[in-house]
Amino acid sequence: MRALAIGAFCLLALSACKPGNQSNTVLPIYGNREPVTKTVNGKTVTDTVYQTIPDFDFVNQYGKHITRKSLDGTIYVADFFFTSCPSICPIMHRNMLKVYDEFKASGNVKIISYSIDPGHDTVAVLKNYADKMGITGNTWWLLNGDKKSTYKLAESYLVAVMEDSGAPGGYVHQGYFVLIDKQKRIRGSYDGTNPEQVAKLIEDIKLLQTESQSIIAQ
Amino acid sequence: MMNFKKKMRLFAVICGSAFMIISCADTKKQEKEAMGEVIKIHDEAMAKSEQVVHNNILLDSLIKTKAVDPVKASAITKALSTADKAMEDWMHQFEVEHEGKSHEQIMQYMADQKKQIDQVNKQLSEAVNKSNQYLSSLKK
Repeated sequence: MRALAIGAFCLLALSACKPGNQSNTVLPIYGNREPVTKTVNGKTVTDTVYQTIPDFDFVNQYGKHITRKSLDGTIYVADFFFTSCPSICPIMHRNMLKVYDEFKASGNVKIISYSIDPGHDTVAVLKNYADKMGITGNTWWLLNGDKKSTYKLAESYLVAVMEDSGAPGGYVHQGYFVLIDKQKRIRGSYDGTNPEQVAKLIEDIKLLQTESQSIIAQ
Repeated sequence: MMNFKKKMRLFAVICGSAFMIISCADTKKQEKEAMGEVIKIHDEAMAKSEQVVHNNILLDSLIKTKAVDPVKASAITKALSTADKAMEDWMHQFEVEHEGKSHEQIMQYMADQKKQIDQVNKQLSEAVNKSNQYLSSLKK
């Protein structure tokens, strides 16, 4: 049964790469995945379940609770920062402003910046930071939550980065931007301090915006 | 036409201001380098603080599931939390902007900050090493 499931999964994986599927214009899906076999109307169907971002309950710069549900049906970019960071964060967020400017009018793209120094980055501090950056409205949320929860969440987001580097530790403060699709799956990671990678991120977001439901639901 | 004395004086003024501009650029460079040294240690410390939080989470869950001696493990998580807090506090007080301060004041500030972040970095190393040792002793 197990072999059958694996076989079915391989077939599914192969079919996903068919040339007719514009394989070069579809972004990869990162993280763990497992085939799930279930019976629908008497037929055995194998589905792939992809890793998604786990639930959280944080507060944004306006003092509003933001959970996983607040991001339902939204493409978003996540990063980890803190307002008193003297080194890479100012560069990251100067680059993130480009993403913000590009998509603030679109309504279906968000930016989520998790503070890794929640003790100091209170709602008031985050609001002040947002004001200084010229961030208004609900496109870019700066979030404050429990520090350990934030780090646990970071490990889910940065799974693609961890796969690449192979070494444990040291990703949270490396300035990565992570691209999440409407199904909360990880679709890309980019060096937020590198303007070329950020330009690629903007292109990839546009690609995700055009991704049809049929590809998403495969 | 300018006489020799006047020419010499003008020359001296030009040299003087050129010297001042160069030395000003030089002091700015020194300040930048001094800050660079502080930031370098900060970045090292930051990577360690990630390890600190990671180990803290791990030990927390072990304590919760009663897999470890709570007294011993709590002493280690306490050291991890203290080191983490020291790092946060340092980051929060560190100033990047120094408008209106003299070169000497800035250099002194950076030297002081370097000492402080060095201390925090050591504290983080110790907490990471001790927790790593403890965690690996559990596997045996």
